[in-house]
Amino acid sequence: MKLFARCVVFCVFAAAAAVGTGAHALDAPKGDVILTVSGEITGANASDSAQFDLELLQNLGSKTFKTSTIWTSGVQTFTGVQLVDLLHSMGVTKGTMRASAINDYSVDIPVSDAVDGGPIIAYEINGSPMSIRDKGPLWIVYPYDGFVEYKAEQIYSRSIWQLDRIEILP
Amino acid sequence: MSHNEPERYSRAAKLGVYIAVFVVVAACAIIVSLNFKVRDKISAFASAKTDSLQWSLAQFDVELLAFQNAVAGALHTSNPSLVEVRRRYDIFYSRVETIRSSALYKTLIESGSSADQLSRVDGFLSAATHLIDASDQQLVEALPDLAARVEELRPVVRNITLSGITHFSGNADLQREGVVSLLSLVSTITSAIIVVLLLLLVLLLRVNRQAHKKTDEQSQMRSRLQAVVSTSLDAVIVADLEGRILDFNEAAEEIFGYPRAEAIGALMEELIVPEHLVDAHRAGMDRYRKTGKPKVIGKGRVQLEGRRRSGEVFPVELSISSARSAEGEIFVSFLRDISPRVAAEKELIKARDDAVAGERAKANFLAVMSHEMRTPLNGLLGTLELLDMETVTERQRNWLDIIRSSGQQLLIHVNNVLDISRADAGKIEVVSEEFSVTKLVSELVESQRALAEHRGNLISYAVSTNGHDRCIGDINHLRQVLLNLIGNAVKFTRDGKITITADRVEHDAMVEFRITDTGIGINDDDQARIFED
Repeated sequence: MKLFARCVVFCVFAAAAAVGTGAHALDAPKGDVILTVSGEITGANASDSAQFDLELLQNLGSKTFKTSTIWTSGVQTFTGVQLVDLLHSMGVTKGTMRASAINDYSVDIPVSDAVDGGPIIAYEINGSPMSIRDKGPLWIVYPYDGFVEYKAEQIYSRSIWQLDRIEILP
Repeated sequence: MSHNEPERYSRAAKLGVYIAVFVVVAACAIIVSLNFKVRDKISAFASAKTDSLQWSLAQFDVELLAFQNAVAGALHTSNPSLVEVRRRYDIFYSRVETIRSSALYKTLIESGSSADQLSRVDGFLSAATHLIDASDQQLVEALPDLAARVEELRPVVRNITLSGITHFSGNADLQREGVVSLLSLVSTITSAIIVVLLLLLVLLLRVNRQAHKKTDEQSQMRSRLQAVVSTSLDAVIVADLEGRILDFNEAAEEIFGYPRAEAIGALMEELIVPEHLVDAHRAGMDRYRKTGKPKVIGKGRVQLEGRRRSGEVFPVELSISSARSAEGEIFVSFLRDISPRVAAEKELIKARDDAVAGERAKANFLAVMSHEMRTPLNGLLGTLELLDMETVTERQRNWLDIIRSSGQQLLIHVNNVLDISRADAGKIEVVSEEFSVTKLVSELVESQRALAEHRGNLISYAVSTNGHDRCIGDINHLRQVLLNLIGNAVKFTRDGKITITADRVEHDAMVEFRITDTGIGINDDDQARIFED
């Protein structure tokens, strides 16, 4: 009885710990892989990289905000996963993200940019997914209207659309 | 310093200040407006309005090329993967969309240079999208057509890219120039303001120095005035409209006997106005306060009475004038203690009265004497004449002679005294009548001959008048004087010579009489006394 109770307690703690850190191994993607994260990460699900389909990304959490951008007219609603949530799930706390796009555009984003209420990897605009022609399927969008410091050329250069790869550098 | 100088100076200074203030206000207005402009520019720069346009334009070219490669690759493969073709097309399509939504696009359309080319890009897209979105089979068949279209489009895209870059760089340069000119304008205005402020500072220092100089001058004048007032021999008293003493100099302290500390703040009527004059003083002050008409003020010298601390009332001569001060109207008076002068006046008057009385008494005396004294004498002598000389004895005759001669002698003396008194009193009447000098002299000499020879003297005379023997003069008095002198000469000479000469003085209308004798003469000291006149 005592042993059984101890086992139960241990399991509960382990599960809690596991859930708490969130550093668990990723499930395998079922749909099209739209994002590959490599580099110094934990929780890879394919050799030493993590591959995400839309569902896996949505599982990480979702954030919605409205903002206008210099590439769109009027206020748009973006829905996506916060960068900070994605990195957290990979166990990334510091370093630089090298984000690359389908057309091989690449930009370095410091991990410090990934804050709560900061940039998201958007997969829906105004409630609908984005095709490549619409700068989809993934677009790193900052809430420009919320913070004037996001209205800078450097931030615009980090607002990479047609995102498909992220490499975590130390 | 004249009245006009301070006015002129302050007018010039005021004008200078007005101008400076106006300039500063104008400059401030300009600064404020510039400030707004700068703020606008800053807020414009605070947020980037565009991302890298140059990158977008370059990518425009590159992505078309990538698409062209994908199409070429697919053409040369037997079983081509259309994924890459479609992907590259989508990327190119989204690039065009990005450019279309940018501000550059609007400017390019407006400038008109690239409008034609952009419409050709649109035409390509509308045709190509149709093909790309068709089935795989249709796409494979359309690949050569696509390749041709792309080849046609490449120079168009290149031109758009190049003109866009030129326009962008021009814009960037304009912006830069705008900022530079704005900043230099701000810096110029600021420098100008600093210069004006420095000028104002200089002006301020000058005004300050002038003020100091004026203060110095004023204090010098004040100390000079103070010296004048304190050394004045007359009392200087300053009072206000109520009659309260404001200032009391050293002379006032001495004259009235009150120390300065006691006098200041006290009422004049309590200290220096004699009791019997207090009411008049009060009435006068009241009247002046009510009507403003002065009776004594500014009317020159006035003689009044003052009271010393000891209570002594004494005469004062004073002069009052009124002046304006910060506290209102004040009276400045100079007072002089004239008691010694008044006393001297009194003495003089008394002396004069005494002298006049004395003169009157003397005249009375003369009148009395000339009658009273001579009457008995004449009676005496006259009666003596009545005596019959025949019926008296020799002895008696001698006595009678003595009486007669004594009486005559006394009469002569009395007459002399009366004459002297009359002469002293200025009562001698001098007449002018004509006479002969020779006759006068000879008469006198003959009348004295007997007496002279009796004493053994030889008496003679000599008159030389150059033919002008007749003279005008007071013959009686002249005879009297000459008789006196000749009489003296005879009296004081024994067995000597007495000579009387009369000469008409050369070039003159005067006759000089000389009586010379060889008698005992007069002492030197007595000579001085006798001939003193």
